Amino acid sequence: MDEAKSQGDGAIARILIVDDEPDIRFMMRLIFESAGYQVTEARHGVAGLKSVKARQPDLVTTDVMMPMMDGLEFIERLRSDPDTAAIPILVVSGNSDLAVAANTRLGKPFEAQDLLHAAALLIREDGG
Amino acid sequence: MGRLQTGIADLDLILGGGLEPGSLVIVAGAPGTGKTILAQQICFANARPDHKALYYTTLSEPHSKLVRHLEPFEFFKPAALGRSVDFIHLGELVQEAGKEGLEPVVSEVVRKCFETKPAVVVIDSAKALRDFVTEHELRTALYDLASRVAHTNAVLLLVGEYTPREIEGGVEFSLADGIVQLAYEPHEPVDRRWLRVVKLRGGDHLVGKHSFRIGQGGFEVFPRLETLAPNGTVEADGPVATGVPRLDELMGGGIRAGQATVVLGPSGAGKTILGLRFATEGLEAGERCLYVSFQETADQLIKKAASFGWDIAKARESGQLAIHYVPVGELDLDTIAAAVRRELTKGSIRRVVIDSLAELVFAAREAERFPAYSRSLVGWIRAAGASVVITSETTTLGPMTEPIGGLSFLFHNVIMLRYLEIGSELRRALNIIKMRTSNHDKGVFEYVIDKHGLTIKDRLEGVTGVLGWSALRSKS
Repeated sequence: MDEAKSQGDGAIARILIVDDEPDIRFMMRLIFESAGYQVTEARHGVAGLKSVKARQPDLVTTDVMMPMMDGLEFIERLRSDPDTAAIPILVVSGNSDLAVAANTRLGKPFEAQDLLHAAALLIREDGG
Repeated sequence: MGRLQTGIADLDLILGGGLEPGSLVIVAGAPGTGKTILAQQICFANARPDHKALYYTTLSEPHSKLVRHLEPFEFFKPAALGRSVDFIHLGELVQEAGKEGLEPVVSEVVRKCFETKPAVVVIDSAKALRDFVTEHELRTALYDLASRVAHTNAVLLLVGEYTPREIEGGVEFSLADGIVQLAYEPHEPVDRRWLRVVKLRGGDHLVGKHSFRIGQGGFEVFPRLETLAPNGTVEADGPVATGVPRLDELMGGGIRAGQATVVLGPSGAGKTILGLRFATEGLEAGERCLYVSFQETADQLIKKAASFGWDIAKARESGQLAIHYVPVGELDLDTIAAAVRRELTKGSIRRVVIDSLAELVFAAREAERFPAYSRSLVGWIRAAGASVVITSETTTLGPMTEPIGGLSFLFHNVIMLRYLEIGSELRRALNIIKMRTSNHDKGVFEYVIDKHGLTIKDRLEGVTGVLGWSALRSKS
């Protein structure tokens, strides 16, 4: 768990996990928090949008198949809003082949180190 | 608009062609009966990017585990996930139903249905909804859900671990257009899975318990034979040679096409040899034959036939002869019937041998079902224009009380093989007990099993008591 936890300015990076399965959110939170990240959760795209606006995370991880608003629409909304368009997005889905405008995709089930590696890479790229 | 096909050929037959678009269908059964697999198979068979399948889970296992369990099945297409099949977790919305009722759940499912126009929507487990609301709230919510989803023409499948008692009185079931019950029955020598269409509005479904198996291909369903009528009847007439020298003569001209003949006899009397000869005779005349064997595998039968100089291996390779071997683990009446039906519907089968009736009886878990089943099986074979010889084992020695369990009405012809003790020697004898359409020889004839098969010798004159333990010299 020695991947980077902070952005270039030294502040602790914030990650928003958007997934309809509480077990997945719990597990991802555990992995990210063990690595030193700050984590917030949302259970679908609608709650995810609210959370992004309120907390401006450094990275968003999202599932694709969710109630209320699915991951595809959630990503589209983020990308079409100038305030959120630049936030890196990691899609974590049962079908990692889905062509979406995410920065990186990770299939389920995943290894903790792969998740951390993908997150660190995206945050570093974005934060310098 | 046509019915939604389940993707399982014989299940659609049972359902009278499939599921009505816009209908609410409940798949009910105890844990482990295959409800989730069935619902998922229907989803993957029908999902298209423009008509998705929506699979909502409530309080069941995580999706990653669901997907992992799906992976071994051939119907599972990983690329369809998220494109045409969506797995969506409603757990938290359902858990909040205690505070807010089920309206958010209903609204979410309906919203998605109007947005994506799905072919099929599944809620698994729908029974979990009961844990969070009153019966009245559940009835209202399900009514709203079913009536709104119906506008999209999607089939709504509610999957749940409902008990037979709940099926009779649960609020879900009074609203349902269709109810499919799945069950798993432990039974020796092999457990049985069955499904029953308890209710299906607007369709002509097949009633009763239908066996099914779950394999790599998913569900494989075997309709209850008694509920199926043959598609048509092939008129058959004329003599059908048994292939056993002199037997046709003793039978008053022999078997007629389309007749059912039973060969009774103890173990080792030569029933299988007679059955094999009957099939071989047909093969030699260019006919297609089906041999259903319970004790001997295809290779064993081929070897046995070869020991009498009958080459049936080539006919099997060319498809002229179909050998259906039923191991003990697959002893199931509906499964056996499906195999026979499959061969018959390919057409041109003229001779069928079932060796033997005893295993069929063994396979009948529901004893009261057997007479109707046997009648249907023989009816299917005859409707295809084929003649059937069925062997039936009797006690090794001594008189027989009811050798075919009251099924003699099924058979046009009855041939009996037996051991006889004559002058301190054990010999074999044959007699024709019944010929429905001809005047047969009433005598008892000795026969031997030699390198040519079964050879009938002389009439046993001057002996009596042949229907008892032994043959005695008559006083005259």
